[in-house]
Amino acid sequence: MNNGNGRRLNGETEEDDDDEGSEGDLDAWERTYADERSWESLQEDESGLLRPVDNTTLYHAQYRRRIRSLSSQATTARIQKGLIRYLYIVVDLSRAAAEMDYRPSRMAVVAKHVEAFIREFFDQNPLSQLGLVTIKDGIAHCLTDLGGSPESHVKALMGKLECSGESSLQNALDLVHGYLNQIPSYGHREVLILYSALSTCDPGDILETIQKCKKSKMRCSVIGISAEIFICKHLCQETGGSYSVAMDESHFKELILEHAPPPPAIAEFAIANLIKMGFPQRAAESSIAICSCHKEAKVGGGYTCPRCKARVCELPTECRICGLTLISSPHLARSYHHLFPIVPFDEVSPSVLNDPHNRLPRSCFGCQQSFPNPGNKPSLRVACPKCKQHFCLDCDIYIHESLHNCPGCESFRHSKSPIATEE
Amino acid sequence: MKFQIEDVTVYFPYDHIYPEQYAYMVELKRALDARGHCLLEMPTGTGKTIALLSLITSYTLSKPNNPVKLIYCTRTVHEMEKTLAELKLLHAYQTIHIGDRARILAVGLSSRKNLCVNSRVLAAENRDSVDASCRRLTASWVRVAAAANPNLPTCEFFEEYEKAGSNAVLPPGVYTLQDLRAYGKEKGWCPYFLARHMVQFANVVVYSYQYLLDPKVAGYISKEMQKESVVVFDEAHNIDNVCIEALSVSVRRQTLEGARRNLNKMRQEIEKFKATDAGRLRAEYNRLVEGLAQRGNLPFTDNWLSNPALPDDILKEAVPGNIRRAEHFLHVLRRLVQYLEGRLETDNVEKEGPVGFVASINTHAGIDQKTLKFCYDRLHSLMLTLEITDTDEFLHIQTICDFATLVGTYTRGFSIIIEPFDERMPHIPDPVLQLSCHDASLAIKPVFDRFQSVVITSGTLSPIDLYPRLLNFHPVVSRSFTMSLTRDCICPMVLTRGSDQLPVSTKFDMRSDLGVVRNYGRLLLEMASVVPDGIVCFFVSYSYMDGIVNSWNENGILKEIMQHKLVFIETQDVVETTLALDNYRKACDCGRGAIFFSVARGKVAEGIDFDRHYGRLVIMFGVPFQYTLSKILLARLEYLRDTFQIKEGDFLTFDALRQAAQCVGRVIRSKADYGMMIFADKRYSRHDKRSKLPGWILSHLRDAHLNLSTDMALHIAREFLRKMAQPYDRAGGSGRKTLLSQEDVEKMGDGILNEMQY
Amino acid sequence: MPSAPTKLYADDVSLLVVLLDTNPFFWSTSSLPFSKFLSHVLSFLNSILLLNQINQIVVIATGCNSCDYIYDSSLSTNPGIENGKLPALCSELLKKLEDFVTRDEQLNKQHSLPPTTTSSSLLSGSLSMALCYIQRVFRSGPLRPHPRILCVQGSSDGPEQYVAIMNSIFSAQRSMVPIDSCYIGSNNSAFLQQASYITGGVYQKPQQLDGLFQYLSTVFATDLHSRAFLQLPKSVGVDFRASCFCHKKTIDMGYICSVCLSIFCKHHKKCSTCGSVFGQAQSDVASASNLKRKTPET
Repeated sequence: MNNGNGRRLNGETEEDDDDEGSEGDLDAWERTYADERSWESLQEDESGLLRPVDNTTLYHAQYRRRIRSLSSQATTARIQKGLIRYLYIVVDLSRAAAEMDYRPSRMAVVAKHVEAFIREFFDQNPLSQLGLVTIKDGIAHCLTDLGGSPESHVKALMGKLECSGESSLQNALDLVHGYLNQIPSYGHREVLILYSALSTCDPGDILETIQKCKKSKMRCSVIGISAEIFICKHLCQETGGSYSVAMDESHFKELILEHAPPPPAIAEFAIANLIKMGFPQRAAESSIAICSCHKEAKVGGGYTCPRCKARVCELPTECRICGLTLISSPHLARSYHHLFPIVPFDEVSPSVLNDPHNRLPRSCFGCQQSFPNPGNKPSLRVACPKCKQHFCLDCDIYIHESLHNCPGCESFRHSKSPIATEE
Repeated sequence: MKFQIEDVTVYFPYDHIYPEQYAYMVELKRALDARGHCLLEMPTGTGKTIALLSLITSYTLSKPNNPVKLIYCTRTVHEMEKTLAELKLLHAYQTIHIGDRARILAVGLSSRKNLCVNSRVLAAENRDSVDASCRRLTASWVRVAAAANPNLPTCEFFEEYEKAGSNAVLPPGVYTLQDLRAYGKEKGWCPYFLARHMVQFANVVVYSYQYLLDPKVAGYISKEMQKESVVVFDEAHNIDNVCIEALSVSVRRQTLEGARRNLNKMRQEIEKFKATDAGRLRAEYNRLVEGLAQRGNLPFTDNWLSNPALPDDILKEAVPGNIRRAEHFLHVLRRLVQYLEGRLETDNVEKEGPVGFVASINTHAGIDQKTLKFCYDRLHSLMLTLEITDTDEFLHIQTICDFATLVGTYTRGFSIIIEPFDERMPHIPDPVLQLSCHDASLAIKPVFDRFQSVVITSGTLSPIDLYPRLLNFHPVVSRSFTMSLTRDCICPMVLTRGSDQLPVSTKFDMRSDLGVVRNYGRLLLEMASVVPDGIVCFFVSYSYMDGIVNSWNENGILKEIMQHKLVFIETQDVVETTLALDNYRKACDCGRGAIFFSVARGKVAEGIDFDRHYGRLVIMFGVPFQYTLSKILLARLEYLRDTFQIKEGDFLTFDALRQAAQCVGRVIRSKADYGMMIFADKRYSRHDKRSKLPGWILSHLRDAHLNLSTDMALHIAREFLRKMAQPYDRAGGSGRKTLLSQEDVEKMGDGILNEMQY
Repeated sequence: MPSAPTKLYADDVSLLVVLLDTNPFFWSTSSLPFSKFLSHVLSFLNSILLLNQINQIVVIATGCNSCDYIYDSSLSTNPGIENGKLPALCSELLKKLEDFVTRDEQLNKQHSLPPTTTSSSLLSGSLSMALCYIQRVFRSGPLRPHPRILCVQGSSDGPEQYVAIMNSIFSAQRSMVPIDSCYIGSNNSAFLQQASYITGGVYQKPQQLDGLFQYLSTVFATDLHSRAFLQLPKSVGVDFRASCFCHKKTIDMGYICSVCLSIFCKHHKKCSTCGSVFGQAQSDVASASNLKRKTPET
């Protein structure tokens, strides 16, 4: 849609194409007409006046559908989410990645969003590890090994961005399969493939490889950038992953960030295990020690491994001397909200709103924003099914996406269900 | 689900129904109530078959006093099996709901080749030899001789079947060909004869078009079908061609030589009989005198030759005197063959009407029209008398007799065309004499007259008003339906020029234009780089396809195309094409991507589906007109103009576009599927051509998609593919509902009918 | 308050959300009486408002049975002086606070809490509400004050609120909202230490409660931009050690269940929280009744 060439969209009877040829990007001022098309965001309202499209309710409706579908998957029996994930990101650097339909090129956009994804991933999954693989000229290379530090991955990715040649899905899967077979059994094996090409040139039978991956319980997901390819769909269906195709840059970003929270773990996959971990103390500010990661003397502000007393600079990490995984309790706590998700809020129906017998709160419980008067418009408030407090739509989104606490339930000690088993 | 359409309770085996299926059923019921014929066009992938079956069986159930038999005609065996499978589902559903009252007997019927279970007979290679081997074992005299002499081989299945007598019946149920074979094996009965027998008692019969339209076959299979039957011709867009071919004969040099050989053999046989069993020949003579040459009192296993002319046109008289004696008959045939050989020696193209031809035969060979008319019957009787079972060897003389009978029977609607060589290859002498029927209504007329309701239905019946004229009937209902879609899963485009803005076409004078060739090549190349999985390309003819692929190879475009996808091509050899198709599917499955080159009037276009990822894009290169210089076609056009006032141009366009629509319809087989169609020729943008496309394509053909150039088409393709790759809500959550549940149907009134029509 | 002209929204405008602990169980045993405490806090709030014309203050009370908004400086109509009495700020605030405390106590009676237990205040609730309010401010556009949260807390940590408080802390960290803590109870509050450490705020346990106003105004009054120029109290000895679920003792090395991340001090055969058997593949998910959320005490 945002192609420099593209002017034929949506069947509007625009003037017959001026043959401007297929080259040349538009200037910025031109882009506002060709690409952003601000006039399209206007709509006529009931009285015939032009108004900008009310995106917020649309956005909110989409969001709610998504949350509902996610929570319906979780159901009453809690599905255990894969909390210790070993994820490989496979970036397709074949010829197709040099296409310019994303600005400046597919490759650059993909790299940018992968960087954002890496940070988000480690934010949401502090105990997990990530690795990068690229496909170029039909061969898959391992760019970085599985590791827990975002910086090294990002640096490696930004360093090597050239694309050429064909793409081979089978080679990538084989490579990743080899690596993922070596990880401990309690970890969840995942692969995220960012595929720009439209075909795959494989040396052998890719269907066999897919079966192999399925047997090893690797969950492969694909985000397509050009169009829907059967083999990718098949791969995702067989291994239990998700396949989506991005329509444009912002959609791509959304899709890739959807993979940051842990997926519902297919329960048989991971073997439960007790993992030995250490909780180091933070050293006092004035202590001096030689840190084991940089091999130089540092003042204050580090952590001491409880087993071998080596100093490390940041958490979470693996102690270089004795191999113990070192974390702090907040890291574990960061993942607790996946295990104890809050219920989605229900929409307050207009009939309840218009009923004169109901005494409705006039402002949102969370942010104190006052509600507009209920009219015939779709309801703009939601209520928590447990504490029955009313919230505005924006608080709803914030609570479910970021905060993971219902302020109403937290603010009343003796609400309907005791706090201890709440959420 | 179960719902009411006026007074009929319809049992539909699924929980949801598409609105167009419902509308289809309403229209169909109207036609049945009116006891008239109807023409219904409904796009592929919308469950037409199950709607038809469901309504008609429910109609029968609701009128138990006037049971209506369903005769369902399909084009291929594969379609037959599919229909019977759907019927099984429906039957199971109905028996659950209304118990025993819903029990029916449904059989499929096909040739011996598909139904025989005798392994010796099946070992023969083609259909005719299977027939011949069967007859060798089951002809009446063979069995009589075998009763006397146990060493002679017979077919054990047939014998068992005969022994079982009136107990040889099929219990109620739905029988596909496979089921029949299994049942036959289990009981030890011959499935073919069993099925043929049960056809009379079955409630639903599924067989091929030939069994109703081709007089040679229909004569003994369908002659006893009740009048209160509903005949359905499915995928009937080419029905006029089928009718025409049923009544056409072509005679070549090989035919005549073969006929001579046959005649010699027959003479030898006659001599033999004269020596050993002269009584037989005399008995035949007497029978002929009494005019009992016609069928009726012959054992039904001997009924394999049937008159090629239509039942009403056969004279019910005694055979003329000059051919009653066997030797005289052979003389007559020999004279005829000689005459035909003489006619074939001509250097010019000749065209004659049947009357003139008959007169000329009379003058030169001394055979009058009545004699010619009885040729076929006489031959049949003679072969029976001579106890000839190797009918596959005698095909040539049968062809000649076909020819003779037809030419003697009809005075209108036929032409005899003699061509000394094929126009396209003038130096190779290949004379052929063709008796071609021009009037499609002849073959189908008895069907219309005899049966209560005839339903002609297909996905591409446009323009729908042409069919009643061609087939000469008056439908009471003639409707065209569109698909209700939650999302526009079809994206038809008309591409008229290349990126360099030069127009592209397969018009004859533009074909070899290098610019056009290059533009077509670039179109394919660009599309191959944007469309995933499979692409199908249809060309107007084999020669054109060869030519353009050669040019692409020379230009290097083909090599570039192959870098994106593998290329497969259809040839005239069935085995090669099947192999190519197999590999094409494999390539699509494993992600390599493939392109299939095919021809618009070939086997692939008629029968093979390219659904889902096997066909994401179909490109129709050019407008697939028939070879307009063919004499037969010219003769037919002239006939149509004179008799039906259909202009030549109109008919040719209609035929071409029907073929094009058939080709592009291959990519969509269900509503969850999606695909793009490109009509790559500048002539498509003209209204007269475009308007002949079926409604369900036209309704998606937006104005913005007309008159595209390659880069514009590319852009549209990219967007379409991305949009279609998003998750799909089957029931159509937003907007109009496209999947109706039971309550929706109950609430619905007539409003829906108006919506669904185009 | 009408929105100020653009040029006044400089870097040092702040929105301060104060979470006041009104837990009667704490205040009944505190050395500083509640009324004195209030006077310290009120003066502090006034001084904030004086620092910049468009500074904003929101006060949320943290009770032991409920939490509620007490005061929002952007909503009050006329901050002028009435008849020489205390400015409207104080009277409004005090009145509302009084109402809140009364309501809170009534809830106490309703649920008949035995008077001997020292219950904690609902810090997680007020933190959540504060964060929601701050999100609303973020949404109001590019011209806005810089928000931060100040917890004035005396009650001890309630271990049942661990997960909720951690969620709030992480959310604050993501939105870059510092949480300052002024702890006036007896022992250090581990939750608040962690909160301030993770979000980049300041944790202070004043030594002498009589001079509370001085602590407040020197440490917590500066806006975020100016803090770069000051030497604020550093965090000393934040204890990140976990406590095991089985004995509740603090451990520095332990075993984590890979499924639910519960912490154990020794090797077990089966996880007591989620029921997964170790060393075997899971075949069914734990039922809700099995799952008890025991929180480690730190």
